Amino acid sequence: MRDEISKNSPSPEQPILRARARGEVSCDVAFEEFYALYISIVRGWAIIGARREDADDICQDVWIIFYRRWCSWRFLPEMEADDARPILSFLYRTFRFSVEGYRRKALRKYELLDDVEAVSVSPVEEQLIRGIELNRCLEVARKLFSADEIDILLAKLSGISAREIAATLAITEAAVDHRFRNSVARLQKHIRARKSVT
Amino acid sequence: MIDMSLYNNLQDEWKSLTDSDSSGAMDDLDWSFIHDQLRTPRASILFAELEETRELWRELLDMIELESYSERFITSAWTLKDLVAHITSWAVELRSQAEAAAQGQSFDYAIPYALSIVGPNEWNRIEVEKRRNLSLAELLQELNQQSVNLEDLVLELSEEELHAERRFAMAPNGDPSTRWKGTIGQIVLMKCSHERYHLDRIRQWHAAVRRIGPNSLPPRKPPLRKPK
Repeated sequence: MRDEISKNSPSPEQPILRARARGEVSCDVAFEEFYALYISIVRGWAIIGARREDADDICQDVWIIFYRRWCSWRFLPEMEADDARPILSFLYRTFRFSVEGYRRKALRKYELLDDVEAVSVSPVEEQLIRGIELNRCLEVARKLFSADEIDILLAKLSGISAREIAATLAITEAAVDHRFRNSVARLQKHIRARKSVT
Repeated sequence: MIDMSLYNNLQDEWKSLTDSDSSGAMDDLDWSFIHDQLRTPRASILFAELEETRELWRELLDMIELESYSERFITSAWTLKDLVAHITSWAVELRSQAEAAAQGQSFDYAIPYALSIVGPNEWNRIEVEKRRNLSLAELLQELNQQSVNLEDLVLELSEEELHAERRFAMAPNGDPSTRWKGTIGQIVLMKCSHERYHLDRIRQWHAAVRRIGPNSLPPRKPPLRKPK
């Protein structure tokens, strides 16, 4: 697939991880490099994969949790492969846990998920999104996909391996692939139907 | 087959969304907010830490068939099942202290730490003994339930309640009258750190066992004889 981050492409994390493991850079300096490397990706996950009003807080949560863990990071041999992205994987997992926390908290507040959805996107906003972003595939996917399908899509787009996605979602790699294909096929059908109406 | 043009569109949109220049991310590399939140992590962070710990347990159970090592000694004093009983006992204790603190209760008991050894040696021994008759599966189930209950509590409490300083039952300096002062948020993080520490140790132990082969394992614990 075009431009997909190849499974075998060298990981930008490895030079930072190695420098830190050898004590050549401080914990904070290495953290800052990871922050610069991945802040836009984490922000993208939060924008697409969470309620809009939670996106900033979720983004912060992910980095706060990572910082705490990074200070006592264990450099495991399986993380040393040239293409390994243990930090991106950690951030992705943490992002999912954080989103789940906000979802559960919102459910407590509103009792029903329907109410949560109603609050998160007002009819006016919905109309605006339809008008402005009708052809934006990510925006349509955001509304059409289930939480798991969005998680898989965002992970795929971010270059996280199918093995990591499977481990994070506690499903098989084959199931990841199957769900991904099914959801993209559904998206395609949906977009075609909307184009034919307009 | 996936529609390639659609997937390419998705990739282009993702790229433009996460492109540092257009998202403004490069203008905002200030991460000083992290230090503000380290001492008083909000509920969503505590929840995510608890979820991650549960996930690490699930991964461990997928990777290792713990039952088959249940009666093997993992330390000089404890079998693997004893260690899980120890972890569970702390999960129960910390959840219970957090709940009591949230209800404004104070503690009429203390858990004094042994000064020569890290941790409350005597309390640990008694609590493991209390769970002697539980199976490994029962212990793991109890452990998981404690985390679920603590997650519920964390999401229920206000930020003020999570970060109000209180006296808890632990007495790290060994003196039962001088007890640890902290917050419910810190109790939650303590639980997660404690479990992650032992999870790491179990993984290391298992890796060593696999390297040296099962025949080199310490002996199994003899089965308990039923009293006549």
